[in-house]
Amino acid sequence: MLNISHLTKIYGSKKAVDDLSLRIRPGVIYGFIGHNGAGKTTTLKSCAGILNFENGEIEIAGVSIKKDPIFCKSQTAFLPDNPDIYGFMTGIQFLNFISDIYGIDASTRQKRIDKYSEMFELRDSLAQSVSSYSHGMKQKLAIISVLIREPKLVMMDEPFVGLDPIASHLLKGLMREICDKGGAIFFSTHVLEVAQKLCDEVAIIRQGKLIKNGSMEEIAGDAGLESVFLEMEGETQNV
Amino acid sequence: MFKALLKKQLMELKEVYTPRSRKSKKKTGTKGFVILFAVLTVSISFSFVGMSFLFADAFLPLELDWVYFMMMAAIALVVSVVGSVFSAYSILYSAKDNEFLMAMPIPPATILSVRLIAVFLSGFLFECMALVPAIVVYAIRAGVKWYLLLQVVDLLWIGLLALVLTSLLGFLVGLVVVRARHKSLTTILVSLILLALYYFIYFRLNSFLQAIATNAAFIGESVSGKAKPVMWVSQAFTGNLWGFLLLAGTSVILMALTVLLLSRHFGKIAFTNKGVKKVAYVERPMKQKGVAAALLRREFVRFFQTPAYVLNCGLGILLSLALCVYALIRFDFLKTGLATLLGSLPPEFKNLLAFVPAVAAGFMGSMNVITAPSISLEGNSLWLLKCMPITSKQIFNAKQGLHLILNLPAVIPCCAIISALMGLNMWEGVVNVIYGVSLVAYTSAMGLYMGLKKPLLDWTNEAVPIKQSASVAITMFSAWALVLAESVGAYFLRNSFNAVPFLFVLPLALCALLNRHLYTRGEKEFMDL
Repeated sequence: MLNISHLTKIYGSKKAVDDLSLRIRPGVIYGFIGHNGAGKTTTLKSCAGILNFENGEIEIAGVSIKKDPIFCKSQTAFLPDNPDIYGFMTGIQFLNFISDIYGIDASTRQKRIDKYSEMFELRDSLAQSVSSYSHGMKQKLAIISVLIREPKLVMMDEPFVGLDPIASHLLKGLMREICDKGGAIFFSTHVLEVAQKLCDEVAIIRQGKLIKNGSMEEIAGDAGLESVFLEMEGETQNV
Repeated sequence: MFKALLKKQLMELKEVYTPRSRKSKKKTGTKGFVILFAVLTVSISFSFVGMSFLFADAFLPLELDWVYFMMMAAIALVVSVVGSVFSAYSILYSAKDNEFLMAMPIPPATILSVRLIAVFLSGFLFECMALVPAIVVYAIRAGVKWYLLLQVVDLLWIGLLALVLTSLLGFLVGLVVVRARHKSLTTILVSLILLALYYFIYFRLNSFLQAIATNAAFIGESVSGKAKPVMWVSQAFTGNLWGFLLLAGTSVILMALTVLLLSRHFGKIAFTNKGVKKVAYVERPMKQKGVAAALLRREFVRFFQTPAYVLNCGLGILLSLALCVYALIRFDFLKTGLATLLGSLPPEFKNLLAFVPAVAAGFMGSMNVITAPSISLEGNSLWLLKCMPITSKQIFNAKQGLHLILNLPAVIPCCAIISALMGLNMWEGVVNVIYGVSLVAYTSAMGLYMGLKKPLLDWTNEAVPIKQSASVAITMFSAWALVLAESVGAYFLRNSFNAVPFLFVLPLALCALLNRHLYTRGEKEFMDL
């Protein structure tokens, strides 16, 4: 579904991502772990087509994002950690706008908006201006806007930040549902317990370089993801 | 604490006028913008020179120097208030970092004082445009006196008085808006009422000034008899040290009281949404639109939901339409008046007259630079457009579409009606309409081009990219410069070649060049933002 090979992204003289290669198969929830500034967001944004990159290749469903960005973007959805969405629109205007851009027909969008807005308890607030929403409500609206598109690949940057426990629980279930239908999830998180419970595969990144990746069993083993991550961080710092 | 906040505010202001290229992080075009700004400031100042001479010749021979300064200071006060009042509310209360700052151990009065400095700076600039020529003209007519230094310092006190009025008006707008159900609409309406008041006074200004000049002695006697404090304060400009101290003291005390009043209500206005009632969601049948229509609708919603955008980039449209309606109502009266006026012009101007309607409409149209702040207004939500399966071309089309759809219905009838008023023939009328349209197309492309070259995405207040960005200023002045250059060119060519029917070629050619850049290299530049 997503194939990243030798990705390098440079800001000025600093390499934010350095020769990173990853492969995310359909049906997999893939966790992306690293400390602040490790290059997780840069990688996700590059995969979403928001950032250009200097070297390497990103392919979505076998198509290069550099060669056909429109096709790649039509297959994916990106959810940033702090979704700044249009404050000048109402919630329903925003969802309709997204539906128009992704060509979702009227009856389908109606059903999906009803379903997910009920699920995330946002339906009553859809007529309100987005500028009056709390952070959590904006996050929920952004999640609904992702779900109504039914994308094949969902990339999320810290998706659980700002969500209430019920919405968090719902999102985890929906992430699994997307994968069960043949989609894939690629998300970053600092909450290692969540990553261990939710992810099928995981990658650990430090200073833009891939430190380790593989199935959760391979990486976490019996010690648990947190112990492994802290041990690896310690080793890297000692080196 | 105050110093740190002031530094932040000044950094914000500096960033506005010297935006950095996102890629290279280098500052771009600072010198050019400073020169442009200085030229504009000096040009506007010149319009107050004539007024200063009129008053100086009326009051100085009667030894009523203080009345001269009283009048000029009053005019400077009005100019300063009108120049800064429309941004006062948004600068004082709508900044994005309100909650961030209020959560810190900073008294509201300190936050407000720093924001007031930003309002003061814009008002002070307008005040200087009016009062500095008055001081210079006084020096020419009465000679350079020892109290020139006092006059310069008095600029500061008058600036403070203007700031008191501006911030109180901003506070009143805030009180109304905080209770309003439809905030955007209320802000627009309140601002339009203030603007209508300004124009009401402005259109009566000439006869008012003449009346003052002819009744100079009477005014002097009346003020010195019935309003002595006004006389003392005005004498601050003519070497009266007590008057100087009175003016300084009054300004500082009024300013302190204003800060006290505003800081007591700061939280109430900045954080309360009294008027916002929860609107129940009622399900309606949904309709699917194409990508182009959805993007265009998004631009429309943003425009009409952002009062500063409507007031600063769309007011010319409203004025053009008002002008059309007025011209139609008083068609015969205006046509006769214009015929008399045009008949008195020298013969060498006659063949250029056919160009006047388009110049008038073009100047008015170039004030509506809707595309110029459009990219900057994407701000932190730019990521949404960049990760959608759409091309930059579709985004640019929507932005230019909004500009053209809003401007053309105002500029076309405006050109046509003025042509009819001037008694031009059908062919000349058509040429004018084409020229008006070409200027709108040029402004649209230039605005988008400048918005792309000088984006301002990290704003804390949406009024900043709309009112203070380099892209807006450069686009507006470039359109004026283009019209001026073409007018001068046509005048000098008048004996060998009638250039008037071909004037639309240059704006259209420039528009084509700009669009060529936008739709080729510009697409990548947008994605690199």
